Amino acid sequence: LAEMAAGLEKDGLALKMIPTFVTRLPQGHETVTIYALDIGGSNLRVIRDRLSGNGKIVQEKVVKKTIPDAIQKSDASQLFDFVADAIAEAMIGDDTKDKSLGFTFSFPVSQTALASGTLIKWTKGFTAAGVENNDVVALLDKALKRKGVDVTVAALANDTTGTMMAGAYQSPGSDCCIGLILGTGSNACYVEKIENVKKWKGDPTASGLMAINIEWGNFDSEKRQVLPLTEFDKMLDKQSPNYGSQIYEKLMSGMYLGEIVRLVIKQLQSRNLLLSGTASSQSLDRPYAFDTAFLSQIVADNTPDLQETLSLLRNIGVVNSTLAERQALKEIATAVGVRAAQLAAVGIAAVVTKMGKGATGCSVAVDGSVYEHFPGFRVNMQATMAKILGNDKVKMVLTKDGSGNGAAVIAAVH
Amino acid sequence: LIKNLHFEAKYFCVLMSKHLFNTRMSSETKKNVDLKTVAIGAVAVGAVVVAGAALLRLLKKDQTGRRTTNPAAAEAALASNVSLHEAVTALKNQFSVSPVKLDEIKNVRSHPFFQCELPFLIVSNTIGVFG
Repeated sequence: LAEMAAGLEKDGLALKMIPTFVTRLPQGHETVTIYALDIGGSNLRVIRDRLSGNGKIVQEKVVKKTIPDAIQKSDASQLFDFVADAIAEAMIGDDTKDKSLGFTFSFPVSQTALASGTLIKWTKGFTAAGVENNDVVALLDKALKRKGVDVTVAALANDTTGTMMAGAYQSPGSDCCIGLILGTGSNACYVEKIENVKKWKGDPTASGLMAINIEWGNFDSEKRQVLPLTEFDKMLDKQSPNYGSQIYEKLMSGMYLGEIVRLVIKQLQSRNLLLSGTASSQSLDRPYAFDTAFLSQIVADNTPDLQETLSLLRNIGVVNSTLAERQALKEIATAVGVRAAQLAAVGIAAVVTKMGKGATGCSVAVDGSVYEHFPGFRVNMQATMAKILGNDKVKMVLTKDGSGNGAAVIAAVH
Repeated sequence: LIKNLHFEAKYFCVLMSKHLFNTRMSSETKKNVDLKTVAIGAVAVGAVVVAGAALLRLLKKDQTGRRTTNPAAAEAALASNVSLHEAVTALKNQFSVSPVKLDEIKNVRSHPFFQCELPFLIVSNTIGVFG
């Protein structure tokens, strides 16, 4: 709570608390056809969404493209022309006028308005020239004009805000005011009163509200006073490309859970306690060789001799394993997964407390593979929240494809 | 008032010295306690407070959330010649987010420090000053 309050006062702190320029929540009765563009990395999607007014979002058309490596490394014109072509393809057969589009762009962006944001730095292998330090919405607009595609880019969003907005549309009346991503990475957003956003230099919003992108993965990264780090967490952090940051995310997101277990296995191997055969040792030497999806499969394995775990281990090159070793592996994977769920619940409980909804409750829109697929994750998270808040009034709502549909909802209500 | 407080402070230090060093002192000695004795007493009290704070800090660093003087118990268990079962149990302890820890995150006032040590320090220091 202290880090959140500090981040609302000034920039440059552990929790960025970024104003998203999303100032209104949907009611669920909005009726419109609207487009969503989702560039999450090398894959892009253009979705024609129909908001049908009863809380339902129908994806009428989806165009998926892989951005070729040559385009990723070309320049702004070539990249956004490629994107404009995909949008044009999604619009075939739609005769409506005044088309709008919500744009989810999963790269570091400094947002300056609802439909304006500057790319701070390319990540994920992109190097297209002339995009960094430029407004990505303006670049897309230019490409759309060049290609004669008649659509207005109404909103620039991130996946967390999109998930919250999609959840709010799909669950009208549930007071959905928090968005959570628990996938490869983790982040959350919530709706804050504008007077609490001390660093906000703009005019007060009409609604008096502002959705805040917490960027919560970086919680406790500076002070290291709260999170219970094990030696394996510290090891993982030290060996990661972003050493010292995103420590909260490293305890609970899909990118890292498998690696934590791999580090545990390696330590047990070095003590000749687990999977210590020669062939077994080498196959787990490579960092990130143990995928979080493997953990889900191991935890879910209820066969008598853990046969599924046996075949999974064989698939990754661990030929020999005893039942006792597989049972140990399952116990470790379960412990790491339970901890992730508990820590995610702690974060949501803090946000709920910040909003003053601990007693009345609200709903949380959640998207991401860890929440969706890790066995027991939802139950553990819900139980931990109930324990902290003293009631079970905060409800988690799985909101699939929030990054796609949510941008469309944002564009529709603003 | 200052004169009286000065006397009380000196008398407290004498009592402290008596308890700490088991020295016998006459009433005449008590009256003639000089500033040096007061300083020694103050340093002794300060050292106890600093040592206590250092101990609390050490205890707080326990990763499992348990208040123990042996925060590296899990690592030590692993380092020794233990069975797989014992090693896994130690690891599960490391990864457990104990109810104590959750309470600490929920509300800092529920931290054992605030439940026990802080009131103790306040009471003992109050007695020390006014004693």
